[in-house]
Amino acid sequence: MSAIVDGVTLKDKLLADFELQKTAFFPDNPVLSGFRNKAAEAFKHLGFPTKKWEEYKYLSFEAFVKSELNHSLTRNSTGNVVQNELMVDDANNLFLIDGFYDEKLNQKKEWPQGVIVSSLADAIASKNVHALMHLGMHTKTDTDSFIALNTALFQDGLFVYVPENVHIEKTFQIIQSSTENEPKLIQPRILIVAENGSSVNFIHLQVSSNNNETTLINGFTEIVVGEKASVSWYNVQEVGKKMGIVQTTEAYLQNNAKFETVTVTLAGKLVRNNLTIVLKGTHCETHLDGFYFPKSGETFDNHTLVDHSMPHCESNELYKGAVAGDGTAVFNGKVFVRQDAQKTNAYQSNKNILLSEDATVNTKPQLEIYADDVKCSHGSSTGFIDSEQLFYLRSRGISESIAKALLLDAYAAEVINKIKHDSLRTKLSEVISGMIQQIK
Amino acid sequence: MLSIRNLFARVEEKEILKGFSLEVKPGEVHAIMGPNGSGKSTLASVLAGREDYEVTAGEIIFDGKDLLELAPEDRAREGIFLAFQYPVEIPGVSITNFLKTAINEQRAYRGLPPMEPKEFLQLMKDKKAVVEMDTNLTNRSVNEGFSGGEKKRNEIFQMAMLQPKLAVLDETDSGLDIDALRVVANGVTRLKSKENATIVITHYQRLLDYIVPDFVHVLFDGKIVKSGGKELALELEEKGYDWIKKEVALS
Repeated sequence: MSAIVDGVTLKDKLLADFELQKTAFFPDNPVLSGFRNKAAEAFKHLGFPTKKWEEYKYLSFEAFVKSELNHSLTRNSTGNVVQNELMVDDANNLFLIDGFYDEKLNQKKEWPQGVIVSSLADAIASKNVHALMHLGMHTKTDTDSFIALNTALFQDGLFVYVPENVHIEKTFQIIQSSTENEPKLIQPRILIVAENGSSVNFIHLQVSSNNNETTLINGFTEIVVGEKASVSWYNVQEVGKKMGIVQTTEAYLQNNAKFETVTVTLAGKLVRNNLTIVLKGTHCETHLDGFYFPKSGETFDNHTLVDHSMPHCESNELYKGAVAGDGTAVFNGKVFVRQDAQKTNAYQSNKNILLSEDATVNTKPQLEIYADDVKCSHGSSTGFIDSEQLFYLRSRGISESIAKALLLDAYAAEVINKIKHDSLRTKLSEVISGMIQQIK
Repeated sequence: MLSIRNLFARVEEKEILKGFSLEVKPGEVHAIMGPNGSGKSTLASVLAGREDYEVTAGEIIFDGKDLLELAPEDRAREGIFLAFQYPVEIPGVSITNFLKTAINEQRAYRGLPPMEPKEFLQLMKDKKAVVEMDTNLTNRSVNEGFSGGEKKRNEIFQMAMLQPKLAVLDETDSGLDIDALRVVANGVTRLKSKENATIVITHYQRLLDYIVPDFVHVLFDGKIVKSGGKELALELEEKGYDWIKKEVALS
């Protein structure tokens, strides 16, 4: 194969992969193969995004689509324990290595009656009714390249099912890591179903253990939150310098459901998060917060969508970023308040601090309101560190660098403090402090 | 201790201090009074090292060091403290963390090890008593949501914690009711010693009922036009600044 392959070739290669395996991957499940076919068609039509696409205008996937990425089709479990500074030790660990549920690392545990924690491929193979009822059933597979690609070609991932009124106290820590050997495309698929009245909490760590290869992770997570159920989802991303992540996370909330999510992006060449929260029932409550810290050579892009379609729901969104060196941050936050969504409370705020003259921020809050009895607000700000605050601290004998670090720690803490898992919050604060101290 | 000689300073191309001179010795309290726009706050900002202010001529020598050569933090470490006219709110930084950092940075500059946590807590407790500061206030973020009086009290509390050689109080009386004024002034008076000095910058005489100055200077159009004892403040209060303006015009 030639050293430089143009973008079409990766697309072709992936479509060829699809043709090869479509008869092998659960041929006896017509529903699944039906929507995989549809997704493959969509991807064939869409291809990878380019900067000409409005939704992807600040991102270049060239480094990935022009490299010789191989689709990760095989399990590469080394059985090696993944270690990362951000891993907490008071959670139930679930490892996904190269997108595959790792049986060796995931010790079998006794879960409460009816709880399922398994490989997604296994759940499909065993025709788990809950998995098949929800997998891909709430999303649109034909409008976004990455959803289409993941749907057409995912091999495995994670399935967690929490039955009615079951409360799982101990947090699940999903550790997504990759093995090093070659440039590849990894496509984990995660399905979480929290039935009515249940509660469950997750940490979703996207890390790389010494991965210096060009790797693109195209993850898709679907979270179904039943009536009066409560789910928290903390997404933490810290991957290698040549790695990219496109992480699509969609949550679907039924009546009186609660969903809290915090997305923290700390390292990676290119990270794009597509977070969609659909409030399908009344009296839902959701909190979506984020902190991103791109440094030189890094581009972090958060696209969020909160879709209020029913009345009496509340959404609160706070995304904050600090951008160092020649790093780039993108924030695009859509809030839709549809005609029937009366008595909606929807708040959105995006704040950015530029730590250098070369840093770039593109921010676009979008509030679209079609109901007339709602309370909504949004705001966005981008600036340098407040010079008055800095002078105040320095006037007390604190050096400029430590004063800046104090201010940035406090700035990040407003988001990090939303995380209710104590040890994760502590670890993140420490890691972010350390990163701040590295900045000149 | 402090020697300001023939100082000229400007902000945004506008000359504000025009030949300001002042000598301050340990143990002294100097009051600098003057009408609005005379250059009082500029003097405070120049002493603390605010970057928007440009010194075009003159010198400031503090304990034998050229103050104008020093960064704001080094001035503080040398023992200068500015009580701000408008203290800044710093959300997310607790007063405790802020002061611990400041004290230890100052100690490091003087070659001292960080303060023991126990000692720090005791110091906090003692100094809170001096300014009658609510215990809960120190757990909060610096000045965030503080009333005007609380902010000024917090300035004096920081001064008490940092124990500067020279404190510059910039309009500390502005926005204070009479009770808060008394507390703040008592705090300043209790912190006075033979080794340290205070410059009180104020528009009104009333603060000087509580903080009795050794010298009163009248600042007008960027320089001191009249100096005297504490009775000068009373005279100003009685006659107003127009009296000074006329005197200056005559001379």
